[in-house]
Amino acid sequence: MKNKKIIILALVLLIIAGIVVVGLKGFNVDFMLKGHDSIEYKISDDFKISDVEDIAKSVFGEKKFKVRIIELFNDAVSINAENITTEEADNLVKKLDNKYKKVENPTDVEGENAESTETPESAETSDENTITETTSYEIISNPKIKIFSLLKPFIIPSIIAGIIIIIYVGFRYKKLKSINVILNLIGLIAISVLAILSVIAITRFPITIYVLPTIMLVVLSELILFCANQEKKLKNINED
Amino acid sequence: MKEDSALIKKLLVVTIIIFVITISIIGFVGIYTKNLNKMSNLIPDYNFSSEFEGVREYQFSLDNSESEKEMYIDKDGNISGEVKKDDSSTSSGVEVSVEGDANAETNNGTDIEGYTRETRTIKANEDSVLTLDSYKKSKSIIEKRLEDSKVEEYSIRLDEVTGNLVVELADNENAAFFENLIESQGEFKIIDSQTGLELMNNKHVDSASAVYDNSNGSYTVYLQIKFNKDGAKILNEMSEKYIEKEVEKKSEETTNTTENTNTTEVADGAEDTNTTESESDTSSEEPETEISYIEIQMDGTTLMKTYFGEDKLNGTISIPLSSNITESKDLVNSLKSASAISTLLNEGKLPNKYSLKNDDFLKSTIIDEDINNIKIAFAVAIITLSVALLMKFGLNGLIGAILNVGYLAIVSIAIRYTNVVITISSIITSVLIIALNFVFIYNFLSKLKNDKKASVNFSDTIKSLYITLVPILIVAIVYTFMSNATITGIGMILFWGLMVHILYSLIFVRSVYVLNDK
Repeated sequence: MKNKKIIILALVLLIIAGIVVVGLKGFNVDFMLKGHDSIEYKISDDFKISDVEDIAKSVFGEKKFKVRIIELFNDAVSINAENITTEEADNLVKKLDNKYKKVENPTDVEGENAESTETPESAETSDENTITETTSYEIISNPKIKIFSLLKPFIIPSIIAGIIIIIYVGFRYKKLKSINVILNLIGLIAISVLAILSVIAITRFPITIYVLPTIMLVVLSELILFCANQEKKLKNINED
Repeated sequence: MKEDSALIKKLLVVTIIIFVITISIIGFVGIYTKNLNKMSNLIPDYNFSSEFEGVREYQFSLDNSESEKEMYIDKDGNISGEVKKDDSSTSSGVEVSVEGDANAETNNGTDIEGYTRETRTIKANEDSVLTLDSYKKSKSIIEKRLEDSKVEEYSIRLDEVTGNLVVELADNENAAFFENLIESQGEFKIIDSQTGLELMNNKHVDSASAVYDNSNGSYTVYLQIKFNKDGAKILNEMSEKYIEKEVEKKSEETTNTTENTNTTEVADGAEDTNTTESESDTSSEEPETEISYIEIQMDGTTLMKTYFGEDKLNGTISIPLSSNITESKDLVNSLKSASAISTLLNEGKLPNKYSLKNDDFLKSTIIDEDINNIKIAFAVAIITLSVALLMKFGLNGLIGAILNVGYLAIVSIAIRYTNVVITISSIITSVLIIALNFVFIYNFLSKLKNDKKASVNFSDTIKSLYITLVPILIVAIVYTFMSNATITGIGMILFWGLMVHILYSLIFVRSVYVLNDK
């Protein structure tokens, strides 16, 4: 009994702390779900995504970024980051050009035609005129995805399933005082969801597409454990 | 005799276990045969969602175009349609009745009574719709359109400052079709064909649906539009004005003009008629046929030019969109197109007009390495659980571990044959399925260890387990019938996990332990 009170107190404190953190700072939403900028860059040659990531890291430093391959033939990338400045974009495209842009009619001190597939490293070290102009680009503004829109598909089916479950629980555990059992079930699920969200908020764990199904898994597991517990109580009453 | 019976039982147990091991190999490895010099698996692949397969991303921006147009302006200053540039109408003097303005007249280029003609700059997006409320309403209508069209996977991002939209859809054969559904503004109009005056629009539509009719072995697909009370009233007025009628002309005319028009009588349903509209030589004072047409337009495209017959309309019109369809494939496609228009009508007109700015295929951020890591994590979990069973229950535990693996293999085969869409959510939910069978076998073996009566213990264990699982079964069934891929994925995994578990437990688990009972 004493342990139960301590657990309840701890959960209440945790939830209050979570509410405060959410109120002050909000959730740490993954930047890909938040409004962010992106630049698309076409690479004709085979490339490793890790190479593009290295270049992006050298430009963005500590800033969060994500490189995604676009187009079916793996010949273009989309580099996403929070608030890409023009300077960063220029720098990024210039570095990508150095790495991937094929050199057309490069100036050759030997008077021979250089290979058009000259690597960026060599382009950097050779005459600067080898890459005549930077690839044109556009900073694309990607609006945010509202967290509610991730939650929205779950709402109607969860309400329908919830109502049916409450009716079932009400009938099944009549002997255990249905109203109490239903309130306990709703309370348990509400508290556990709030507690998980509080932990996520306090630890600044990023909100990604994985969070919601994980909460769903916890709720389903709790539902099973709750029913197993009620079945035990029911069995004891029947045996008495 | 007893020894023979025991031997047969043992043989049966061994046979079942070998069968389960075989099923496990089939489930996790597959059955490979040579096909065109290549080894291919006879067991179908998993049906992964766009989270794994990549998405098509459409970037829509607000249409900034504008043009000078001559418009009809009503008494209140509202625009009531665009003046038809081609005023060579053959039916001058036709009476039209529009929204209470009865007896308005057209006179080849002159104003209609009650309306003035003004040249105005018409913007695709007027300043009044460049608001956050309009952007949000547009987004909401697009969401409803996609949901009506049973689009399983989509996400819409709205730039609340510019109004631009980024829509992600699963990259499949329907992607282009859905792109049109998003981009269409859904502006419905019925106009006077001669003048261009707007007679009805979206606000008069109650509902629309795609229907088809079969006659003489061929199908005709219709767009059936039901109008609201105001719309029905205007429709009735229109049905008296826009008809084929005979008029007698007293003045002598010498010009003979004949125009053949392919048209369809709305009230007569599918009947296509070739009508001859003529202004014949009236010197003989013979009555001439004169037809007043309406045009039914969607986003500026005329779906049909028609007039009304004598049938009662009851506030509904049926517009034939395609006829003489004999192939079922063509019928499906025509119904799909008609359904798309009905969806546009049902969900209403977008306040904003969008144009497609960019269209990219985005590869999934989940790479093969991640999928391999998921597989490894599952394998480690299954091996750990198997070792736990073996250590706790000895030989029975080993059999339990084999049966546990067999169960998971059958679930994996079931979800592939039933085409369950594998999403991140369904993968996370499948943890519950793995735990479910493990807990069942663990509880069953614990009871078996205590009193050794397999048949009784099996009944007790499975009964108590399924009473506990009723809420999960409810979730599984409700989620399965939803249209969203994430939700359906969770529901289907739970549903097949539970269904396979009941059958598998009764057939294999029970048989093995009851036969093995001493």
